[in-house]
Formats: sequence, structure tokens, C-alpha cells
Amino acid sequence: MGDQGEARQRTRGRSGRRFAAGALAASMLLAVAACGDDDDSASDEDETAVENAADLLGPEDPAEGEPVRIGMITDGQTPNFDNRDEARSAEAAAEFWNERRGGVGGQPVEVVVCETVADPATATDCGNQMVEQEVVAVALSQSAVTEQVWEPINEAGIPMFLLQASGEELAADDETTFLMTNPTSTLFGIPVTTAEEEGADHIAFVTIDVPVALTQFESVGPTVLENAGMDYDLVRIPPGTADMTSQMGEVANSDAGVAHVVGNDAFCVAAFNGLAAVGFEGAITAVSQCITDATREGVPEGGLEGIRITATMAVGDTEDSAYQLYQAVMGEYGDDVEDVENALAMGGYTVMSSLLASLEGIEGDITPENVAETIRTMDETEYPGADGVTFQCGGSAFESLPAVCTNQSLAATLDAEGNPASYEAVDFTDLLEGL
Amino acid sequence: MDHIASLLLGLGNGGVFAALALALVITYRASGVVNFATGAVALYVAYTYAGLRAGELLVPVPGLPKTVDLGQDLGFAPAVFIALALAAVVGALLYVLVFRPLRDAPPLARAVASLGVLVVIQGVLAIRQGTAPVSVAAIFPTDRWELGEVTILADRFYLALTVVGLALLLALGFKYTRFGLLTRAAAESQTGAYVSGVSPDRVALFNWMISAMIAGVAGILIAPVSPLTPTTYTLFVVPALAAAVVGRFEHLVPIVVAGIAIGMLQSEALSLAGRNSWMPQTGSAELVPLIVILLALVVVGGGMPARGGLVRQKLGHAPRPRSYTGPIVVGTAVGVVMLLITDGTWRAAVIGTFIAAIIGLSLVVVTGYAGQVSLAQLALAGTAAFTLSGLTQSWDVPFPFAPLLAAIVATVIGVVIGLPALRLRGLTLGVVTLALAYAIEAVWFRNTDIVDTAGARVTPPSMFGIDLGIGSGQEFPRIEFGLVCLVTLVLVAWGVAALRRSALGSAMLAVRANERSAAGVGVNVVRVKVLSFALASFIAGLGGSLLAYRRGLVTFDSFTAIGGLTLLSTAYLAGVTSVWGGLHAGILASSGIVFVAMDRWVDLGDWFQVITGVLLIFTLITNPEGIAAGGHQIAERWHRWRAQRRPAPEPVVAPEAQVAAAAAAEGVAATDGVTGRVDGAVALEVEHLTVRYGGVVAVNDVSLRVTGGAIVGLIGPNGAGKTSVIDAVAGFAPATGAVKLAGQRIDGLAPHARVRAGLGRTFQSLELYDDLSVEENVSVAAVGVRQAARAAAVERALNSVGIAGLGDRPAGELSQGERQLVSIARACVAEPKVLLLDEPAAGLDTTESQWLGDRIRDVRNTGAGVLLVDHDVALVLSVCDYVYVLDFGAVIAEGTPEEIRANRAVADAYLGAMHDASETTEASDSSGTSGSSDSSGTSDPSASSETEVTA
Repeated sequence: MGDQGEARQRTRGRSGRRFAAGALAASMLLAVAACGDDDDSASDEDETAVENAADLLGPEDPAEGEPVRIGMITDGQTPNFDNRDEARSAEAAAEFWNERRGGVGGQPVEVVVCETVADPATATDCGNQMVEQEVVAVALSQSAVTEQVWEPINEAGIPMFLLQASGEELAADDETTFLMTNPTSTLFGIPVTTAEEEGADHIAFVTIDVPVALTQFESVGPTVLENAGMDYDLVRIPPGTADMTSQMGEVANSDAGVAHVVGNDAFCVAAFNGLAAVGFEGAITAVSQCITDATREGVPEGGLEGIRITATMAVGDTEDSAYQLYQAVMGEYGDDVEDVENALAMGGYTVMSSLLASLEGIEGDITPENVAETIRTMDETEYPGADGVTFQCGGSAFESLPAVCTNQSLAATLDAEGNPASYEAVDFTDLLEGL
Repeated sequence: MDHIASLLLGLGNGGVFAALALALVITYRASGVVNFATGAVALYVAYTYAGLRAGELLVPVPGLPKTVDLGQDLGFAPAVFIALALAAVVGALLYVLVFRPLRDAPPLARAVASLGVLVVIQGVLAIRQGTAPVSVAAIFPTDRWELGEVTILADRFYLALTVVGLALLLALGFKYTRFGLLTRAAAESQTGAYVSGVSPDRVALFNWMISAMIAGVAGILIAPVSPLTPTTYTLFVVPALAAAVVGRFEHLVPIVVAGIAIGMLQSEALSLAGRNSWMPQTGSAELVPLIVILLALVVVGGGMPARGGLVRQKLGHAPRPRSYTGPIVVGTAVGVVMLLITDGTWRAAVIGTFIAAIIGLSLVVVTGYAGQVSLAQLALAGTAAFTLSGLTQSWDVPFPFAPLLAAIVATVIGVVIGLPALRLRGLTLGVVTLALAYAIEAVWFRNTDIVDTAGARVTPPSMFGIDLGIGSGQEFPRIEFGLVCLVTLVLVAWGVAALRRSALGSAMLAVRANERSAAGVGVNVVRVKVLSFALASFIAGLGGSLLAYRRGLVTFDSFTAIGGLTLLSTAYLAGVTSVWGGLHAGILASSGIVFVAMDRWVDLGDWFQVITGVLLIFTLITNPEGIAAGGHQIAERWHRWRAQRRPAPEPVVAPEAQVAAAAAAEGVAATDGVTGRVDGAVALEVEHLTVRYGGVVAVNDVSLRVTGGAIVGLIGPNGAGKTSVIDAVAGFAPATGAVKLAGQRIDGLAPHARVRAGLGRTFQSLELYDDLSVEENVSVAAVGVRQAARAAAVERALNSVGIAGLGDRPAGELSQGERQLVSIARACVAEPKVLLLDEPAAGLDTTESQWLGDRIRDVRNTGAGVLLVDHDVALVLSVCDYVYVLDFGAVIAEGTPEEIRANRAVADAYLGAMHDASETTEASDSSGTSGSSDSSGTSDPSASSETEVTA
């Protein structure tokens, strides 16, 4: 189908593809707020999923009339990463909605894409361009410069849907910001439950030393951990650290029973290998973007076995019907998506689908105000990123961060090859009590 | 024990830094290039090695298949061999294609070119290899040795050991092989290498190949420790450079030791920060390279050894702005029109251009004018931006005051950053400022104890109820904010242009040209350097404040140390020596309009970055002084053309005619009329002056006196110590003994302070500032003269040596005789009590010499005492009232010219041959030591000044 259907608009942000170096810190930062390439290697089982594609997609229900503009912001391509699949898969999701789900209130969706190239100034421009283009809502999967994008959009009263973000101010907005993952429970849920299972009371958090990565530790993090009866160390790795053994040595010498690693694949390879080198004996947990094929190659055999990961999407889990639908949509509408089995691509699809799903019942003129109101008052809805997870925006999930739409997320344990056997939905509402 | 344990865990990082530092230094020694692309070369080789181990050959050439399947995985040895052979090819290509064409370009141009190479290699790797990290199997055994509480990782230990071994091998190789000797010779002096029949070209080529291989070895060694991504090695360059500075870019073993020490100390610093909650939790590791550099500077001192090139070029020409009104009116109009006809992203780009131009102009001041390489200007802009946040959010300081205060804070920090400049020059200073920027970024901009994790918010500017903010949404970007930026830019540009025309600006260019000679004419070098950093920091602070207003939310990523490298590259490429160039820097900046236009109109796809890098290198090769130089030439032609239409001014020193005329007019009076007052008040008294260079006594217990209104000659054969006496009196050479000026001891004073006390001097090699006009050259020396009286003083000085008509001409264009006179005028302008003239007749013919003698008498007639050193004995004996004869550093005779002529001892020791020669009045420019047959007027003055001291 490609680009048929609705006209799409691609307004690239200024791509200040400046000297590679400048974007480096930003990319490290991205590792934290973001999904890196999560290239799950469960591809053998694709076939069955594709066969059922037509069933999964459902009957045609084309949208008609005046297009509704929805923004999609991505960091695009820099020397450090290529996230352009995010926008491509989001466009595919919109296409799917336009042809099979009646678009938004019966009107077709036109996706306006802007690339930030992970540059703060360009990000601000992107935010402003969204206002300029009169979009009714903006979707963003993850970005190194979320705050800068969000500011102008929020100021203009345009609803913004985010898959992952960590900004405090952003998560505290109860009007037009909607966040599909709870930054607090996503960060602390798995390490705390793992520590409890292991009978440990001390967690070491290994993370890149840039401010955005530390948001949770500067806000509610200490309270969450205290409530859970956990001591913790925050092990900050300066950007540009070649060898993490010295910091990992500190972890091994502390009495931490769990080490939780937050970063992209390159960061995690260095961290996992460092922990192994210094003989860390506790349990290791990590975020899903840690684990890619590169990680599986970079960590000696068996080194990933038993690592518990948190995830926001069931990437590569062919048993998961949400993932099956995603694959079907990509097969039908996502010809230009380069790497489908990847958290990047699935992230773009998931955030756009979540936004569109939350607008199922919209009535009347489709304006930013109406869209925001509709999302705030939505019913509990199935999450397009994984089975068994539901979301409902409007402040009901977590009182102190009203933008959060769900406290659920996914957990998985890696097998000897480093693949998540299967994802399970977990709910961390308990962890958030008393905040 | 804990400390030893954490130190040892830093071995891995230390080995990485040491390996890269080694490669950096080998390149530097071979070619004088501080090669920021060293890490990129290492990365390319590491990727190639990783590919070979997996049975694939990486092909970095566009159009060809990305990899060639080798059919089987290669073992360690063949993989290393092939990877290093390819490294040698890359090294050779880099030299032939990039650095050979730039071999006579300023060092800064070559450093910037290496950044271009970095961009190209990174871009190619990103496209051909992808951004997914690549891991490499361990090379060394990965055992863990536990000794009590101390853990040593075997592979890290072997890594460090290998690097040390490699350094030793290379050091021995350079010391004991013929190739090593040739390399060292070529590094010392390219000219020397030519003379001894060696092609420095070929030596450099081989050294580039070797250095690329060393970088490759570093890359392969590091690869198992740190997964490869296209930008992996970029940030390792700061600690690696720090290690290189410790070894003065020369001594391999100390460099490697320093690299390893930095890694180990970082580990310890992190461990201390982890254990002690009172310590800053961010930045302790980033502070280590800086502290190591500063300690090394205190202990070792000095900077990078300068390499002796055939032509040593400094920064580009810094033309003098001719008028303000036209450019200001036109520039403002263009700016306003640009703002009016654009909107949205385009207007944001115009505003980005203005702001980048302001920050670029700060580099024009500190680097272009004063010659101080600063990589910290972006960090300084950042300090202002973060300060502005505090001022507007916590203190509610209103608009025009908040950014001004923020800029003042940046100024204070800038002066502190500039302090190392008092001891360092050139790229060494650049490296230190880079380390400082790196530390500021870590301990301030990224510190969550100071800056909110989301960034520092800035209140939008408003004045008299008018909103001057950039706005948001549909309003963005508001034209009011654009106008604020434009007004600031115009003011800053005007200020920087005015600075170039001011006395301070001339002094900055004097310092840039040659610190020694600047001090010799009374410029307080320390003050000028500090002021240049202060002014540049203030400007950077203004730019940073505007950037903060533009962003609304200030985060560290706009002000990184690596970003500072980019800024300097852009500014250099644009032309760092003029306002025009500063404006170009704004246009070319990544936030400026050129990038937006390229992005909108040209779809280069994935190759955008690579093409940008190639263009950068190409532009540098074709315009080593920056793009703006073209504009200067056009302006120059325009002014020439206009000048031709006006009646030509009278030619000034046309020696033949003028000498004749002068002789006719005042010849009689000059030769007979006024004789020197040998018995006048003592103006300069030197007692028991002794100068030692190492074990050599250059001047031995010399005492002499110069009375006011007298010309005292100092003659002697080559190597007699004449120049050493002048240097010691002027404060340039360490000496014992007393120097009194009008009865006051001045021997404890710095050179510029002696000048202020009333001691003028000229240099054998003249040390004129070729970029400056004759007037400016003289004006630089008019210290202590009030601004209002300065023009008159300059005119008087020019008149006194008869070159009043030359005022507007750049000194670089003058004939040798004219240059001599400018140099004397410069020494006279502050009306010194005593004037030291070092070989003023060098390079002059007989008639010119006579004319010069008359001018010296004129100076004497103003009441100043003159100490004249010259080889032209005829001149000395004809104009001097009293003469000292020096041989082997000691006074062997003194007396009136007649007495000296009659003195047999003098004749025997010295005059024998010369006496006859003096009758035929040979020009003295054939003399060996004078070294000042500087007819082209382009050679680097500092080169000759350095040899002069050790003569």
C-alpha cells in the first residue's frame, strides 16, 4: 500500500547532523529513556503469524473526509543511531487505522513527522512545527530530547502521547500529556521484586551519568526504595567510559544483591562484561533495550542467562497476539520499515496505535481540546504493545504522576541464548503506594 | 588496600588512554598535526580486525559491496597483520590527500582538518558498518587474579603492559635507528632535513603510516574492552590528549605512564566519590585529566615543542576594518530583511545564525586577534546560559541586566580558564582549555546537584512590558527575539571591529605575532592575554545567554566540550581573524542557515555527514586561512581601485633621492653641529653584568654607561655577546649585575615594565607585526601615552625617522630599510630615556646606512641616550660619541671613536680586517650572526628571535 491513501507530510526538523561527537552524549542519554535496537532473533516463527495476517487485521473500514493531522516525533538518524523506523511504523499504524478502523472519528489520519536528530534546539523547533502545522495530537515513542519537544506542544495545549519519558514536569501534567509507561514502576519494579525474591536488601543501579537518566533518583526514587525496604547505590558511568570494571568493582565490593543496568546495548555489554570480570555474584536485572543481537554476541556464552529484564512491548514474542497484530500491520502497511522485529519499530507503531485506540469513541469536531478530553475520559483499553496489559489515561493509574496511563509493564527472564523466553505482564501498583 | 584495589581496576581505561595518546604523539612528531582523527583511525582498524576475525573484510568504499566474504574466520595473527597493513594504507592516504597539501598551513588549520577526517571516517563507518555495537573476543587471557582484597584483571593488566612495551620499543626505535634519527631531525627542522639530503616528505609519509598502525594497534587492543560503535573512541581523546601534554608531545614513555595514571586515578576518584557522600557525585573522573595536566605543567613546565618548518605560518591575516558606518547599516538592514522574509524554521535558522555569529566573534577576539587557542568558548557560553537560568528564575533579575550579569560571570570564569595561557601557547593551550571545558561540563552542566534533571529553565526576556522572548507554537520564532539577537550581534561586531582598530587590538596582534617582541616594545603580555580572554568570554557569555533564551530550557548537550571543538572548527573554517569571518561562522554553524538550506534543498541522504567532512577538508586545503579571506581580498581590491582614482601620495623613503635631499638640508648640522654630551647625566648604567646560558658565559662582568643625549656604540666580533648585553639590559636574558635607568634599578623588572620605565629597544630581526599598519606598529609601543596624545606621538615618532608618509601601509609590504626605520620609530614613540638599537643597519646599503645614521642623531638630539650595536663599524665610528668593544663577553676597550681607531688591541682582536672594510663601507648584511637579511619580510619573527638568544 505504501504511500497511497492519505497524503503524508514529512517536515524534517533541522537536521543539524553536526560533527558526530556532539551527538554522542545525547545518544548515550537516549539509551536511558529509550529503546535501542531490540532485535529479537525469534524469526523462525514468523511464518505462522504472517499467514493469519488477514484475519488479524480485520475487515476494511476506510476513513473518509477531511484528514486529521497527528504529529509523530522521532530522533531520526544521527551518526550514533538510526531511529527512522519509528516514524515509518507509526505511519503504517495510521494507515492501518485509516483503512481498517475508520481512522479518528471516521476521518483519516495524516501523519506529520519531525526528526529532532537528538539535538535540543531542533527538538524545540519540532515541537513548534507541530503547533504551526495545527496537529490535533502528537505521538512520541522515545527521545533523547523529550522535554524540549514537549514544552512548546504542551504550552499550546496540544495533547501528547508518549510511550516512554522520564521528565517529572511532564509526568505531572494532568491536562494534555499521556504517558504509556510509569517511569517509576518501570525503573524500580523489576529490581525490587528480584531483590525480594533473592532475599537481598541492597540494589546497585548502573546508569549513564547524564541528568535525564537520573530523574527518578532525584525525585521519588529514594522514597520508593525506602518503602520497599531497599538500600541502594547509584553507580554513575560518565559518558565516554571505555572500561567499566572500576565501577563494577565497586558494585562487587558492596553488598548489593542485585545490579540493575539501564542503558543501550553497547553500554550493557560493557556493564555485563565488567560485572562478570570482577566476579559479581548477585542477580542482574536490566531494561529491555539492553538486550539486542549485539549484546548476545558481545557477552560470552551463557553470560545473559537468568537476567531479568523489564520491557514495554512484547517484541519477538510470537505467542503474543498484540505482537502478531503488529507483524501483520507491518506486513501490510510497513514496507518501508527496515527492521520490523525491533523495539524501535514496534515503539513507533505502539505509541501511534495507543493514541488512536484511546480516541475510539471520539465525537464531534476533532480539535486538540476534544482529543485531550476524549483521552482523559477514555475507558480501560487493551495495550497494543503486549497482551495482558491495559491502560486508561486521565490520572487514575498513579495519582502523583497523573500523566501516567498504566502501572503495568512486562517482565521476562533471558534464556541461555539471551532471548526472553516469554513476557509476562506485571503490575507494580503496590510499589507506588504511599507516594 | 581499598585504594590500591580501585587504582588497579583503572588499568583498563589507563591502557586505552595510553594507547591512543601514543598514536596521537607519533602523528604529531611526524607531521606536527594534533590529529583528532586518531581515535577514528583506531576505530576503523578495530572494525576491520573484528570483521576479519568473523571472516569478513570491511570495504569502506562507497559503491562496492559492504563486505567481502573470506570464506573462513581468520586467526589472531593474520587478522592483525591485514588490519595493520590497511591501517598503513589509510595513514598514507591521509598524508597524501589531506595533510601533505596542508603541510605549510597553520597548525590550527591542520587540527581542524583532522576533525574533518574524523567526521568522514565516522560517517563512512556508520553507513558501511551500521550503528549496532560490535564486540570482539578477548585477546589476552581473562583470568582474575585475587590477592587478598585486591583484584587484578589479567587482560587489563596485559593491555597496559603491551602499551608500555610498545612505547618502549618505539622510543628505542626512534632513538637508535636511522629512520628514527631522520624523523627527529625532520621534526626539529624541515629545512635541516632538506639540507642533509633527506626528503622530509618521505619521512613524514612513513611516519603517517606508522602512526596509523600504532592507532590501529590501539584500536585492536581496546576493542575487547569496549564494544565498537562509530563514535566509541571520540570521547577518549580528552584524557589521551592530557597524557600527551604531560609528555610534551614528545616523550613516549612518560606519555604512556601518564595515560595509565589518568585511568587509574579516575578509578580511584570514582571510588572515593562513591564512598564519600560529601564528594561531588558527578565529574570527579572528568576532573582527573585536567588536574594531571595542571600538575604536569607546574612540575615540567613548557608546552608542545614547536616544529621547525620551512615556512612557519601563523594564523591568517587580520585586516584592519576601514569604516564602521557602511557595514553596520548594510549588515543591520540585511539582518532585518532576513528576519522579515522568513518564518518558522527558516527564521529560527536566521536567529541561530545571529547567535552562532556572536559566539564565533568571541573566538575572533581570543584566537584570531590574540592568538590564544581556546576550545572553551562554548563551555563559557554554557556558564552564562546556566547562570542566566539562576538569575531569572531564582532572583528575578530583569532582562537587559540578567544576560549582562551572566556574561560577567562567564567573563570571570573565562579569565580563570585563560590563566594557563600565561604559560602556554598554541595548541597546548587548546588542549588545556578542552580539558577545562570537559571538566566544566561534568561538574556543572551535568551535575544534578546543581542543574535540574530536566534542564535549567530560563524566564523569557521582556522589557518595558514588551515581550522579547522567542515565543512558542504558532508565534515561534517571534521577530522581537530575532531583533534582540540582531542588535546584540551588531553591537558585538562593531565592538570587535573597534577593538581591532584600538591600541588594545594592536597589542593583541602584537602578542599573537610574537610575545617576546611585544614585551620588547612595552606591551604587558599578561594583561593583554587576560583581557583577551575576558572580552572573548563576555561575548561568548552574551551568545550563551541568547542561546538560553532561545531554548527556554538549558541542558548540557548544547555546551559540551566536544561541541567546543566543532565551534572552533567552524570558526576557523569561516575565518577566525576578522569580524567578517566571525559572521561567516554564524552562517556556517550547524544551527545556521547554510545547514538548513542543505537539509531542505539537497538530499544527500546517509552521505550528508561524510560529504560535509569532505567539503570541510577541501575548503581548508583551498583556503587555509578560512573562507572569509576571499571577502578580504575583494575588499582590498576595491580599496586599491578607489585609491588609484585618488591622487597618489608621495612615495616616501626613496633612499637615493631622499638621502641626497636630507644631506643637503641638514647634513652639515647633523655631522658637525651637535656633538653628543658624553659628560651629560647618566641615563643608563650597567654594572657587572654577567649572562650565563647553561655553562657558557655569554657576557662576563660588563659595565658600561650611556649618558643622555649621547650615542654609545657597542661593537665586537661575532659571538662577542653584544646582543646578549642588550637582551640582559632589556630583561630578555637572565643576568646578574645591576642595570640602572636614570639612577633607578630596573634589573628586577619584567621586560615590558622596563620599557615603561623608559627603556626602548629594537630587535635584530625587527619583529614588526606584518598584519598591522605602520601607524599601528608604532602605536602598539605607545604605552603610557594618553589616548588623546597617542596619534600625535605616533606622528612625531614617524616624523623623527622620516617615514611619516608610510603610516597606512601594512608593515609586511615595506622594504628592509623602511622596516628598520619603523622598528626605530616604534622604539622611540614612548620617548624613552635610553634607546637600545640592535643591528639597525643590517640589510641596508651604504647610502641607507648614512641616512640611518642621521636619523639616529636626530633621536639623540631629543635628549635620549642611544646604545647602538652594529656590525657596520663605519657607521658606529661615525655616529657614536663613545664606543665599547666587546670580545668573548668582556669589554676589551672603550673610548671615543678616535681612540678606538687608534687602539692596537682592538685592531688586532677585531678591527684588523674590518677596518679596511669599513673604508670601503661594506654593507653589513653579509655578516653571519645577524641572521636578519629578512628581505622578504614574511619569515616568522619568532624563529629568528629564538636563535638569537642562544647565539
